[in-house]
Amino acid sequence: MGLENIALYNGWSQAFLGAVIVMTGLVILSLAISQIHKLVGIWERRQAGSTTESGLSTPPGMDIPPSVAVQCPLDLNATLKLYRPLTESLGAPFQLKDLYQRAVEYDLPHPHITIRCLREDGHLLALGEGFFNWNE
Amino acid sequence: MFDLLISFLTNTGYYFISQDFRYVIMILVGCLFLYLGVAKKYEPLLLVPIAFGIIVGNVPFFKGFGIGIYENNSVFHYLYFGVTTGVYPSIVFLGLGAMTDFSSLLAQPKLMLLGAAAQMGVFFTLLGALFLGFLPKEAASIAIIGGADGPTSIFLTAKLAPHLIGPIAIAAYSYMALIPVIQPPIMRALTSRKERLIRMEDLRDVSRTEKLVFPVLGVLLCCLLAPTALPLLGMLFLGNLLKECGVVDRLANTARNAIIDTATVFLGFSVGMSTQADVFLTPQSLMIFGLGALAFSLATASGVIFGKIMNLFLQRKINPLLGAAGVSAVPGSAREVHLMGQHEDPDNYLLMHAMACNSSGVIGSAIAAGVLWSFNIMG
Repeated sequence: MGLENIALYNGWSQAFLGAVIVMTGLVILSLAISQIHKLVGIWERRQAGSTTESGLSTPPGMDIPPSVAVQCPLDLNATLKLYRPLTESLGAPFQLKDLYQRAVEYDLPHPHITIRCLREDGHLLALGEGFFNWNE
Repeated sequence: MFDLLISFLTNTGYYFISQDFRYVIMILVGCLFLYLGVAKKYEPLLLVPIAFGIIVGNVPFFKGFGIGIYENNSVFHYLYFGVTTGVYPSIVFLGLGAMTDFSSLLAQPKLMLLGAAAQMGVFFTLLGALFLGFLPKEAASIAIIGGADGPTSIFLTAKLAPHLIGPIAIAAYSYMALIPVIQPPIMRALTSRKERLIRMEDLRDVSRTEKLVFPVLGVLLCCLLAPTALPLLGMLFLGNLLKECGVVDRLANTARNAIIDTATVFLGFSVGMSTQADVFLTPQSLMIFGLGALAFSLATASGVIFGKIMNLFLQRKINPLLGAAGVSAVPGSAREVHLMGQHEDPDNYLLMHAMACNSSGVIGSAIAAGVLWSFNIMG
């Protein structure tokens, strides 16, 4: 027992070395993942560049359909009354994908467009990293 | 006939209980934990099976008939196999990886350092356990309580000091449930109001490719450094890869639902059953509980202090409260950090940043367990 026991079993070395190894491992991992998004960005730019250079932005014979104008629900307040209860069980804040899933489960029409319109109209406030809350 | 009746009665549990009151005490301990898990909702997913396992495991019986957990060829012995071999904790980590979103960590990798700093509590506790006279393998098993990760604690203890699984598991899960009691005073004492008010920058969007690369990179970098962490981190990152790749949703769903739930039930129940009076009702257990509290406190303090040290070098300061979330009691410590930040400033949302530290704490505690295991098998 006591400090002699620590020295007897090499405790000081184990504690110091163990702490250093754990810290080193996570420092290396954090450095590596801090570079991932840069490498991914370079890779994606190269991919986009090679697609443009080859002049084949779309496969031959396939025309991109013209984009369809987004039609928001005529009465957004009524739509809001339908959507707000969906988030009661999700709590606050919630993720849009969960709201979308709930809307699909309840067969609400055009959930994707509706959620987008609610966002653009300021009824859904972004809190960062994909979390949202209703604008009270 | 009378002899037969007497023979039967002296083989009942009632008779054995009358010979040793410690069974009664342990059954009452099991009932207490059951109450804490069900009524107070303290970590119920593990505490309820552990508590019931304690009750079942302390029903005395006639030895030699393959009934008890320590008797070969008993049903409970086969269930316990998953604990002693570390299979259940590894499977739990598979499910954990399949339900963890690492994007907040990928968006701010420097928060990983707070998860690393919180693991210092493990190594301080190692010194404390050796100081109190525990053997090195026992001290390592007790120290990993500071990692605040139940499966990791059980995994390492099963490898190094299986006779202490009961008290260590109970200590680990009890203190994880007591995070709302342990952490706030320490966080408040070590930070100023000005520091608690620091707002974190918004997290950037993380691409799917990053989330795909991370588990592969993570397992390689961490496990090449500490191969003994493979059983835990290998499964954690496998589960995460199943989740993020998007082509095996069925497997990911099964991993984070049926598989983890099955492993959790058997793990908790087996650990509870192994917690018997002769191991639990000892002065050693009291010391383990005391060291467990110390471990949690030191881990919280280490994380917060490291956050303050980081601020000496960072232009854009981080909120040092996040250091407390490096204690990998997911999501309890992240929630406590968020609540404390909100208490000072209701518009300060720290939850996602705290979850980043929580996630790195899980990885850090698994590495710490691997390092302690390798020290003791080399030792």
